[in-house]
Amino acid sequence: MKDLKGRIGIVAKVDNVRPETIELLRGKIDFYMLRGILPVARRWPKKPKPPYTPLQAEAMAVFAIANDTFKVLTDNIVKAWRLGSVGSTAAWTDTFRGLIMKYWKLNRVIAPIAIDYQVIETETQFKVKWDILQRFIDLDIPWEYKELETILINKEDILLAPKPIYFTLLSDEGIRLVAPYIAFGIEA
Amino acid sequence: MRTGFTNAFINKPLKKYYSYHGILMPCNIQPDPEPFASYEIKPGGGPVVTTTFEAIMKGNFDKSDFDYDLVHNAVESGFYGPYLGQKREDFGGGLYLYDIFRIVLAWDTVSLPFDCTILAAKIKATLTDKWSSFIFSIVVRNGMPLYPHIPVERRDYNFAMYSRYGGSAEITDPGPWELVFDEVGRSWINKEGYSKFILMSDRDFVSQPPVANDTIGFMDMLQFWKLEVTYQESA
Repeated sequence: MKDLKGRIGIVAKVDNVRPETIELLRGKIDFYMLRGILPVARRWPKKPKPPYTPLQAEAMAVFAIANDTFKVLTDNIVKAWRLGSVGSTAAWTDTFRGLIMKYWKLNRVIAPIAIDYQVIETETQFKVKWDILQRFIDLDIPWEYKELETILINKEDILLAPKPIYFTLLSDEGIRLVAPYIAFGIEA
Repeated sequence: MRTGFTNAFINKPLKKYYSYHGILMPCNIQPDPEPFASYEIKPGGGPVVTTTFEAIMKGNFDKSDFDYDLVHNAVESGFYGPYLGQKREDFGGGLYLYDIFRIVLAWDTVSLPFDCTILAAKIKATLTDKWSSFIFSIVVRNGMPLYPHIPVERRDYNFAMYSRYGGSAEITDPGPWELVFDEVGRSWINKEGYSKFILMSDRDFVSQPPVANDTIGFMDMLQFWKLEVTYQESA
């Protein structure tokens, strides 16, 4: 076996491996095709077992919270998530979970989650109204629901930009929170 | 938190390099695009309501003279109409008779919640005649608290008693016609009493004499003059 990039014990290129060898080393060495084209071998993967580190345990709890939140999303925002994932390799559910995990990695708290939205329109202006859910890693803390909205925005301020135009939920620092990119469908 | 507006799909994907089993591998990623505009979000108000008021007072003015400036700046006028615009009649020998038509209106908007936010307002009327050969606009102006009076008085014609400009709408062929208030105009909607305005042509507004019959006519009855207000109740 030959080490790749000089890193021992991670993965090694192999050739001429017979099926009997693969069977013989099952549970000790894992043979597989790297990126589908390069035969390699690595140490047999081990699933982490308890006790987890506190950080591992928290990450798992956050992941579970992300999965548990799908059920409170309204049909309206699920539709927006689905539309927003068209043409993307990632499923919208992966993006949803990914945003929650990414935000937790940065801030160690659960990101605000948009569970519904509404665009309220007048003749020349509009505003975006969000229903936001705030969950906590500590499951004993009750969920918080907030209704937040923008000020009235002049349509022409937005429609002057090149199309297509999308909107989403951001933190004050400009970090994307848990909301889809929603197509801005208002005409002048 | 903020609502950010982006042009998501005009951003080209970027390459990100990561270590994959010890090998540095490139991967295309779609970064979250920078918003071109973002707006803070805050707790909102109550429900959005649209209500329509019928006019409780209307005055149709027509002032005419051979001197345009005298007509435009007259402190009072006779009643005739309901027409809007300006007219010039050729009497020959360089003599022209000028007419200016203005309309004053009032609605009782006291029933609006005193703490609501006015989101939109428009005057709705029915246009019956269009004599003008070109398209001009009608503008709405404010004379409150005094002008125009209820009941209407001859001096409510006085141009100098009205200020600013709260929205405009181009004239159309006969049929339903609407004038949408702009931000300034919306601030004139009176939640504690009558909302009163004057309508005049944009040429009249800038004191530009007419060259022909640049006028339009409306349905006269008060119930054909409506003020539609969209407001948000406080939370």
